[in-house]
Amino acid sequence: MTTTTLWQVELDFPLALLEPSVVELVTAGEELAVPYCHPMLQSLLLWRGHWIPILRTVGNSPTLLIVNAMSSPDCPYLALAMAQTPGKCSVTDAQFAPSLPEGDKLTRSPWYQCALSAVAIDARIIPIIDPALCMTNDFLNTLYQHYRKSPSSVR
Amino acid sequence: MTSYNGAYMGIQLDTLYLALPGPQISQINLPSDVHRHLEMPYVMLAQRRIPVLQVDARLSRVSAAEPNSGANYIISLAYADASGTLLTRFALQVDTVQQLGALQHRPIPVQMQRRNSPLLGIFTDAAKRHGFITDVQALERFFNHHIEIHSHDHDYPMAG
Repeated sequence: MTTTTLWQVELDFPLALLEPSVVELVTAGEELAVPYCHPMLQSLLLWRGHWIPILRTVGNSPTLLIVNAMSSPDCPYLALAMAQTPGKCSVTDAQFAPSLPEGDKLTRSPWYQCALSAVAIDARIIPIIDPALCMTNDFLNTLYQHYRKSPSSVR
Repeated sequence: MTSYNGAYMGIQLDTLYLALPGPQISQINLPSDVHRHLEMPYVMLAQRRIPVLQVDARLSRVSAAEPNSGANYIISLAYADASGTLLTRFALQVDTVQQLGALQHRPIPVQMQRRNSPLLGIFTDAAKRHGFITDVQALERFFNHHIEIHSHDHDYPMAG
């Protein structure tokens, strides 16, 4: 049995990232609010001389996780605003790709749109997301529609 | 992205810091130079009435400039049409105007941008302050879009 290392992250929803997706944790970055832009991407982080978009679903958290979105050439990095500091965990093959009951409320989360797979951790089923898929218009618009219905978690 | 490589002028609209190509500012007036006709504010340029607009720092509201708004300057904005003739179709109420020189542009990721956004890039000035590159065409496109969406006023109040 092999094990895989994942990053477990808490945004408004528990998510997991493959180890190569995670670049750096930033807690006191320089931020620039951008007016008249997508409601889910309202500011930029100055990071290593580049301005990268910040995806916020958890208010004004200063804890930002820089992730690789290399398959998105215009925007190779993305900063995800964290509800709490992320942590590493090891999972076994048996924990991967648990089946979800059809219509399960978990699968209705917009985050499943950018999931590569899912993993069972501590009795929770958590999507493993591809950061590049987080930057598609379809996903961002779905996320916005989702949070319009429960706006308390979004700035 | 604008291909202009010359000197820029910086303008401040409350907390919004913008830079636009220097030659696109055709005239700078004081609020005391503003006249009103049927509630539409205007300044005179080459014997023409140039409507004065105001926009908020979040780019959420575009309107005719209000009297006593506290703005310090009125800048008339011009661009060259296809024949090279300079057109000035509107003026904008601003808090400050300053020379910035040439600027290095950083792109705004396209995924963030909404259609008709007047923001074409990011710059950092000599004092390490960050702002947004714009130009007259981008501002005019944004104003046109905004006025159509929000006021249903299809008699676009620009000169020319």
